[in-house]
Amino acid sequence: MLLTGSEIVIEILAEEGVDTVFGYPGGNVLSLYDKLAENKKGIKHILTAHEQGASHAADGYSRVGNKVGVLLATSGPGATNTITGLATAFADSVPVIAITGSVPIKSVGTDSFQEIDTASLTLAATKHSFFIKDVKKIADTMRQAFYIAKSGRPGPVLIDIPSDIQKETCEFEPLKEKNIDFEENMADEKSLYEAVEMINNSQRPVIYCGGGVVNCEASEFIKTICEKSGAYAAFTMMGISAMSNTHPKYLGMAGLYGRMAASKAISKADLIVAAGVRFSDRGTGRREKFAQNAKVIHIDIDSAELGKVINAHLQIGGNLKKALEYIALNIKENNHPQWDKEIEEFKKEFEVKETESFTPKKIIETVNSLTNEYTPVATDVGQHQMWVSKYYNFKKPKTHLTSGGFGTMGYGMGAAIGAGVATKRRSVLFTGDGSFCMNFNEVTTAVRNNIPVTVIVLNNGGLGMIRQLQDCFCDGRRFSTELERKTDFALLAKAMGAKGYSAKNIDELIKAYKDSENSTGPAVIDCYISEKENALPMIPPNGTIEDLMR
Amino acid sequence: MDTFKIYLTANNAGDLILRITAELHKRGFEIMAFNYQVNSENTASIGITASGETNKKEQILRQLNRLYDIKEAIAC
Repeated sequence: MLLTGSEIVIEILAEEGVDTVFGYPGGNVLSLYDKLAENKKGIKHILTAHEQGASHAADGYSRVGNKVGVLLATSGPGATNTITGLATAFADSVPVIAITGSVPIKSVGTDSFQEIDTASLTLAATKHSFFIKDVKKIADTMRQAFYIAKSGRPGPVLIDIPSDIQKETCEFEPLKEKNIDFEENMADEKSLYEAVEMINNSQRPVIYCGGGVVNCEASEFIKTICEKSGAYAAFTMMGISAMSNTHPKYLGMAGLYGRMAASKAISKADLIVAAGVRFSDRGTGRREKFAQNAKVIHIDIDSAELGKVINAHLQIGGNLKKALEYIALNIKENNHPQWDKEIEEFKKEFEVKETESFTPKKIIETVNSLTNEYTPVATDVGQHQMWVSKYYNFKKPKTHLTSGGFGTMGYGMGAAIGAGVATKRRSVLFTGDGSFCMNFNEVTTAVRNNIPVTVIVLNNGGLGMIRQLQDCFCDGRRFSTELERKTDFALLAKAMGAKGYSAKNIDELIKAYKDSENSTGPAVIDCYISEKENALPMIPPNGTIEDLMR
Repeated sequence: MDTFKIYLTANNAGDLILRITAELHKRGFEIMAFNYQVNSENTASIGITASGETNKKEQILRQLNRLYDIKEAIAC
């Protein structure tokens, strides 16, 4: 059948099972929006307040399920506004498709209005980017883009389509049978056997889980490995939803702001099985001192991660889920009473004393008690992100949405919207007053589309994380981190059409949260916390567990 | 720092040179010579002389090998 480029784009989106796209219209995507408006394929469009919000929403939509998030933006500033979102998705291996309009082919290279080389600009922020010059190539390129986004280590892919190409026509042939064969890229069995032997012979094993475990849905195998081998599980920030914190083998997040029992276990272990981790500096601290007493087995689907940061004794590239399944099946039943005893001591040694009653810990635990195991929980970036990683009990994988790799302040509101749309559940966003001010405009998106998001602002009147670093490493000289905004977030929320509350104690928080659940749209609960609350204990950047600051 | 040669076979994609040079730059390598030869409409052979840390040579090959249009990257 003869279709325009825009119609082909919609056909392929439908073919790929896309039911929602997030975006913002503009001159060079007019034709695409016009065809989307015809709604022939039932694809819903969520208009965001800003293209960055659309990119985070597509990311959040993707993280909570097995779907690819899709965003639409126009050329020039529309496209550049998506780059932070694409880089965020790239750093955390999230499959997202960005479709941008470009100036007409004849105008390319003339510095015309809203012209920029989007495909080149996004080189460092995407798994791949395409610039389509021929309407006949739209279908195949889009199918390729979805394949690249989903296969191997997932990631974002950008497709830039000139506005005139969107309007040209060509013959389109729908895919008769969708039978895409994702390469299995199996791990080498000899190496897996060696890994099993190393685990069997270890006396102090730790499984160090990253986002790869959550991505490939291998949580069950991690539990089995821990329970059978007597190993404990430590996590990167991206991996913490892989196991409930009530599991006896759970140690929590390791690293700079993590649970120190996890970091100490890693420093004392004789074997680390690193699964789906990329050894971020926030997780390892000083790299040359990481797990000095241990042999390291590194398993990852992306072989380019092997040896990049830590030269593991055994490097296994390939399908992580299959590798963990093999290990779980083949390891011996084992227990290590001495290791258990030491771990219990580590846990006691690093217990944090609370200072005031309305603490971040209590706020997070209270909200935790009011949600259920399927509630998507997003965070922004800063101290609150660390507190959520420590104190929220994630019982189900893919319920924790955070910018772990790129550390994008302002990520949370869009992500919570995307997660809410994908799951059709009320999502929760924990944010700080600094992060929330970056993208609170997206509250208007949740209002307009009636998306249930409850925003918990842990408001300490400043940029807490950087203020904490200034206190520690700049002799307490605080600069540009004391915001003194005097913003009433409850009133601001009401002004945008959302529900707004202020909470100064746990009772007010509970009342506000329960009331927010009675509405179908968004709510903002502004929780005033002391500026003395810090993300502690902390290992200084490039430090080790020996440099611990409490 | 060491100097070595990298040979690539790849799809002849418009932005491939950008992707390769960006990857080398990102990983701290300096390009000393770059030769791009189109073999047919669809394939290209690329020879690069680069300087960088020897212990990162294996790593950059892995990074180049995962680029979408690269078929094979080898070094000598």
